[in-house]
Amino acid sequence: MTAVDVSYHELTEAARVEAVPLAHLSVETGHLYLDDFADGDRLIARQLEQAAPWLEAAGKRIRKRFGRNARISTCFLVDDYTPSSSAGEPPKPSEVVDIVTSAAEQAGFKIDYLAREAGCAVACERPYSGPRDQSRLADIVAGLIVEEAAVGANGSRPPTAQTGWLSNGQRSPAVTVAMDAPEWEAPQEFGSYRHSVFVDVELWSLDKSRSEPERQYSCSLLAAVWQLLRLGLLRDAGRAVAGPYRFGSGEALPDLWSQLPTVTQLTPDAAPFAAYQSLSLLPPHYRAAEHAAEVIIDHLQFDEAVLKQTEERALHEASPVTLPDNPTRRVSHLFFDEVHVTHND
Amino acid sequence: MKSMSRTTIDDDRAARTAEPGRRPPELAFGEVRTCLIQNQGTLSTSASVALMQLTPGSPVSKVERPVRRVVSPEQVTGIDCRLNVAREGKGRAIGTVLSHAVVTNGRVLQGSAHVALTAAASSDRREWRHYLRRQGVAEIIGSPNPNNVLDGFLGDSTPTNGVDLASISDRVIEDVQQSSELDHHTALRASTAVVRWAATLEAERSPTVHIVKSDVPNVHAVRLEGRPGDLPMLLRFCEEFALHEWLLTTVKDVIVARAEKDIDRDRDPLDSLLFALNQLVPLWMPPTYLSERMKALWDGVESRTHYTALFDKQVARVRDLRDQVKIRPPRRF
Repeated sequence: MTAVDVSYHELTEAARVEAVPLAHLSVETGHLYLDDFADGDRLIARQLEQAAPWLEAAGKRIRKRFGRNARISTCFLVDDYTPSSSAGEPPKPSEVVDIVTSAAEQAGFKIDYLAREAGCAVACERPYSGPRDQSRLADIVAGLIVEEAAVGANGSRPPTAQTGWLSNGQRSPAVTVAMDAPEWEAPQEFGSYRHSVFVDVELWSLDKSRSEPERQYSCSLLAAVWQLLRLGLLRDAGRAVAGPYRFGSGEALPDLWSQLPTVTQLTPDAAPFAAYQSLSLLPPHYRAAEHAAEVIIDHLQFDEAVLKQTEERALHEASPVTLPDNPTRRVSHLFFDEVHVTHND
Repeated sequence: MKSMSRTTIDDDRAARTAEPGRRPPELAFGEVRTCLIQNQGTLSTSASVALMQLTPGSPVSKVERPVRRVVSPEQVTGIDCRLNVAREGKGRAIGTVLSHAVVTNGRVLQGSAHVALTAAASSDRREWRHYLRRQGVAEIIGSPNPNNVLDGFLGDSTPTNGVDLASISDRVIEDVQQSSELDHHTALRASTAVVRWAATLEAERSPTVHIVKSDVPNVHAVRLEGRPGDLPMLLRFCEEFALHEWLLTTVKDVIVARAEKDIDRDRDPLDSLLFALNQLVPLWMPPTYLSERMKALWDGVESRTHYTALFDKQVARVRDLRDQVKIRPPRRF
């Protein structure tokens, strides 16, 4: 008797992981608050002018490695998440797009994608999207955090992730009563070599003004989401998220920022938004949040399938790329100075 | 020959493939807890899926046939602790434990924690990313005899020093039972059963199972052997064994035993008898349909324990009691 080869599978048993298109390099050319556009293009012109030579240098390096087919995309992040401090109306998306486009032109390059920070907290792929087609990316990333085990941790105690803080080491014990205060103990970075750089990152705070306290995510966590989007590493139940949206020629941009997709494509033939490597060209005050974002990414459990997919894709390029194991090693930064030359005409 | 330019952005990878720490695991430990879901009615498919969404954005696994089985995404817990080693030797385990919840037919809930153990390449703790890259694996620093490590784990029923899979699997159950998706009513008072298992993994090793029923009620220890690649199968075997063992115990020691007592005291046991017939009996579905190796393993256990025959006997007894109650209804109705 010959055995019959039979198989039975249900597709809902394991989620398929969608792939995202990837460029070689994604360059963040700047990052501004909505309020920063209050006096037109002054601040953005300054940021883009600072970024221009570094963008050119990075492009040269990538083209040297990958030839004329090197895929480089540029993006700009507008922070519409932090509540505005000014009383005035924030500028409309269409106004900001015009300012950004012309400022980039003056600086001698193009910005392919405009992204908004609130779209990193809750992602949407098209304008006017409702809760059904949104992905709560900040919740997803916060849910992927695996706290570093303290020495002696055997699983008996629940993780403290619920506190809204993440650190890279052992916190110094709280000393509350001065009378019988034990001697102060220093915090310690896990796996430090001789000396510690102990970092404690606030992931979110609770907005208690609302009847149901809602998480107010920190810049650090949103910066982590933003870097992961640019590395093409985020999925919502296997689905790709926050794919760029390009408005048609007759299609008007929405009036409210919350109605705008997370990523809006501004140029027609742009290289993919996400990339194997990301470079952020930023003013120096973003340094701390970017370091915090790196600490967060270092504590995430990634879906093995997503990492593998990206890794293999890179190996099958015409010029194969070997990606590092650690996603944070695909991220680079350049913090430029704020020294300005005063022209006396 | 076409020359391929190979660009290396980082040399992490070369280090990774050459790393002796990436050896297949030699041991695996686990604990499975099985209980009734705290809900009056059976959960629908969509309610089960919502309940198993323990990590936002991570996929929930769902299979409809032969029984509906919905599994949560794996939860990751970091550990860095001493191992409980029987006899002599010591070791420190650093890495991550995985745990997930399973809902079967919207009725039975399981919390399953597991970790695979492998020898560490260095004697120092590495950066956290290193351990996160191999989820569900802990590296052992020191070189205790694997048999002593295995005996140490199975022998300690209240782990306070070693890897505490009891707390981790218990926490998964707690997280689920506290969900607002549930009405927190118990359809039947039944206890939680514990299966603690440990497997020795070696190339070319054919599967073996040794089950010991503990002197503590509702606790079983299972000792397994197999190839490193068998690990997912052995884990699933233990979850299926835990489910079937819980079903048999619940029907025999809870439903039938209480019904007999109720009839003696002229109380009506019909509700719980019908609960058994309608809600628990359909869950008996030995996992022989999964693979040839699983079938071999389960058939082996069956031939020794006659689990299915025992269960059938209990089901016949439940029907018998139901018929008795119908013919001669209890006086106190």
